[in-house]
Amino acid sequence: MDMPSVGQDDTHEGTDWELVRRSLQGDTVGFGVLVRRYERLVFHVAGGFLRDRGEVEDVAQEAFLKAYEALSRFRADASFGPWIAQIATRLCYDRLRGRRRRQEVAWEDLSWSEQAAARGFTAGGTATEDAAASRELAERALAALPPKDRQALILADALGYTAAEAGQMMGCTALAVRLRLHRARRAARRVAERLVDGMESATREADDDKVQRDRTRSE
Amino acid sequence: MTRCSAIERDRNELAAVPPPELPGWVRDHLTTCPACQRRLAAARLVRGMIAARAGDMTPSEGFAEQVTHALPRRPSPEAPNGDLWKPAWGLLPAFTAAVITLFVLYQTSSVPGPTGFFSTESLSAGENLVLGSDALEADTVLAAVLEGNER
Repeated sequence: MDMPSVGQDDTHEGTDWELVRRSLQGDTVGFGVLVRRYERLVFHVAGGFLRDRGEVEDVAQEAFLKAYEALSRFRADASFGPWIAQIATRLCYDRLRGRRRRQEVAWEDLSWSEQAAARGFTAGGTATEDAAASRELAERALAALPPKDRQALILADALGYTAAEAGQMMGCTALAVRLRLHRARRAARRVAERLVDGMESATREADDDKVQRDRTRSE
Repeated sequence: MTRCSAIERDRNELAAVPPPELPGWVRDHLTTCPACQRRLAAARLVRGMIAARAGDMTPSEGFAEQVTHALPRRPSPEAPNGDLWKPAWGLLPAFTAAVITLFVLYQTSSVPGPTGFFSTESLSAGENLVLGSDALEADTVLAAVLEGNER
């Protein structure tokens, strides 16, 4: 997966700090360059927390507007990427506060298309076969994890950020990210093992039913 | 190390490998070990779910334009200073009136200061001693003490 940059990006359009200074003088075009440079990063961060795409877009827009308002506090030696990622992270925490974490999902709770997606994964398939069902399955299965643990899991294991980079984005240390990651991986494995158990017992039952039907038919 | 523990240790790496490309010993072992089958299936499921969860998080076309249109208008750096001074010029007459009033009250008070606007000839030696700006001399101090005794 093409990963967005977290750090400074020095291109012909100017460094982050140059663009920040232009934006402070009222140059919205300069700020637009910053938005284009870091929009994918912000979407990845917000997408790690939130399920609804519209909500992710709202948070991303709000994060950039808040950054614009607070631009005078941005330091010349800082990196814009981690800063905007932290703003987005805080906005996501605000949205998730008060929402109840969902219960761990069981195999029987999954829809037929989600079960098909899970069977595809366990057989070594990829998410592209039915992207919507795969995403829904992933959302339901990982919803039981604490948001920060899930965020660490997605940033590190899915998007390939280092613990230090993920820490900059989440506003915590690399060590804290590693601890969250360890906990999240263990929890995700436990969820997956339960789903695999459910899938196997469902398969066995279906096979038994088929055998029973074949026997009845032959009699 | 047993094959089960080797698969347990490397399950995340093995989960990334397509089944036909797994090492021969792993494929052979998986056909006879339900526990490792389950282990690897769960690892593949986790890997697939995380990838699916992270996917579809790209911004829509024109998101940056949408943000820049929503930006509040930022005043130019000179403008705030100009705006700041406008009310200050409006307060100038009031400030002048206040200074004149204070000056008049001060000059007509019972204990005037040594401003030079009033004659000091009528002052007593003690008052001269207190209000006068010249350096103190022994005669002046003595005159003030004697004058006080006379009263």
